[in-house]
Amino acid sequence: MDRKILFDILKKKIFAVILFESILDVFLVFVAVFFMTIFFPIKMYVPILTAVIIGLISFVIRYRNISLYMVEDRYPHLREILRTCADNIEVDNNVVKVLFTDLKKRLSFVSNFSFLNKRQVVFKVVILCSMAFLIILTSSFKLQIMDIPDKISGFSIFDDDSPQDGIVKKLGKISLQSNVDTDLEESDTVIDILSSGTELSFEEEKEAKDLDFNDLEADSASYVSEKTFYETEFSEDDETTIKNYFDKLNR
Amino acid sequence: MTDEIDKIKNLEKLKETFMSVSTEMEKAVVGQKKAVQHILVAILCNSNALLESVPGLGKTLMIKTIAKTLDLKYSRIQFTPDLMPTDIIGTYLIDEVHGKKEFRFEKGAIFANVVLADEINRATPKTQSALLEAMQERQVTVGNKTYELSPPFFVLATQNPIEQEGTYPLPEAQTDRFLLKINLDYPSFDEENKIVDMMTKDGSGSRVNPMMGEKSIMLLQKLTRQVPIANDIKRKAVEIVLETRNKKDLIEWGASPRASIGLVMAAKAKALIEGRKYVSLEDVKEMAVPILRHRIILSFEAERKGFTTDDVIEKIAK
Repeated sequence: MDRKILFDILKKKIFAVILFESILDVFLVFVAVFFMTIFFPIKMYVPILTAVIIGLISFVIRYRNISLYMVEDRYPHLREILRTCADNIEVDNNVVKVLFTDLKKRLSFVSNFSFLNKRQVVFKVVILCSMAFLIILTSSFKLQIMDIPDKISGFSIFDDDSPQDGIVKKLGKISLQSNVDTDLEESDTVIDILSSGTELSFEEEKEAKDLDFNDLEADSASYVSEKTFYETEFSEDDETTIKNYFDKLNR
Repeated sequence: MTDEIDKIKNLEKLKETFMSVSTEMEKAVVGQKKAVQHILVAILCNSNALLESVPGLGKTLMIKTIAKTLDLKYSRIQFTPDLMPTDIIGTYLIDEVHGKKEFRFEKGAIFANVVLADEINRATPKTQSALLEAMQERQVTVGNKTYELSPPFFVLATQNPIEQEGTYPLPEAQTDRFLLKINLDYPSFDEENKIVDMMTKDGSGSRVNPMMGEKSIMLLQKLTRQVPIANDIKRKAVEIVLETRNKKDLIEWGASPRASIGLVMAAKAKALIEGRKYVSLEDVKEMAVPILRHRIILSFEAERKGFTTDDVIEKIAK
């Protein structure tokens, strides 16, 4: 009898079990790696790919390790007949032929799922459920340890290089109403404050430093006195706007 | 008989065949099931057996019943000190045919399928060797002519263990030619009751029906050789025999390779009788005792400790 026929019968029986165990491994690996995405910024395709690769490897290794010893372990009373058949594969006589037929009949009564390692399967299912529960738990309590980028991205202040640009995006283009000409029509928010200092450009300031300050005749309209600056009162709306702005900065 | 051969060829109903033989034998022989099984093993292995028992245990009845059940030609030779080789193998006689004298070969008692050599240790070594040579060669040479012994051929030689005075015990080299040595024991109380019932009533001596024939036996002998054995079980059989040579503290002389061959063959025959088509480890362990008990010599130390050959063999075979 061809050895292959004996192994084919065995492989068919064990195939379903191996497939089931490999699928379980896939789910287990997926859940484990997915759990790590909570703590680390991992893309979604990573757990899927890892699980599939490990599942495939596990399936191939299990399939290649199919042997008659697996049946012997589960069915000790078939041990002698199995070993006799295995050692007499090449022998061709009536008794051996009948023996192989007998073995085939006995193997047909062997249950597929008797090859399942029940303890291991139960253990894996328990781990799977525990990890799934942990994932749900951490998601519901928002126990996000490393989600600062996510939090910040809500305010979007750090989305770009310049914080000021972020502010502009949130509050819109702000114009500081002062003596400096601004294009008020383009502004979304106008804060009516008086500038506390000169509105000289850097070059002008440098020039002023180089020259004697007293020699400059500053335009009276370009600055206000200290007294005026501290005693000027802002409107309630302006105050609210500024307060909200600093609140968001501090958050 | 054709049905019987078909059944045997079928292989699935072998166990039924042997069970029917055993049932038929129980009509005449009470108990001694192991001994009957061992005799059947020896027949299937195309070999011979040595039977040792005290008188009156039904040795002659047993072998006679086996011969009838298997439908084989039976012959009994009572060995005595004055028995000559020609009494066993045959001789030429001068006969007158049509006024002319010519030699005619008169076949001896050995020309049968089943031969009971009763009390073989009582005959002289010369007579013993004539039988043993015929057993080995399956032929008889008288003068310059050779006569084949028709198959199947089986010799059951018996020995009486108590009357050793004036006997010629078979040397170990000769006992080695017997496949197994069967020890008969006294029957149990119930068995003896049954024997008494059977033998003392009117019409005692049940007739047994033939269950097989020569061709069936020869087919079974062929099938016995075809029974497969796993390599690890074969190794175990050889290890047991090797151990008899290595265990010097208990065994002075161990068994020869003939014992390894005999053990594997006997295990195959036993498996076939039980309806299995493969040899199990239990077959080897069980057959080790009758196969080896007449092939080993215990050391003085073992005898001093009160061990029997069976005890030592069981210890090795564990």
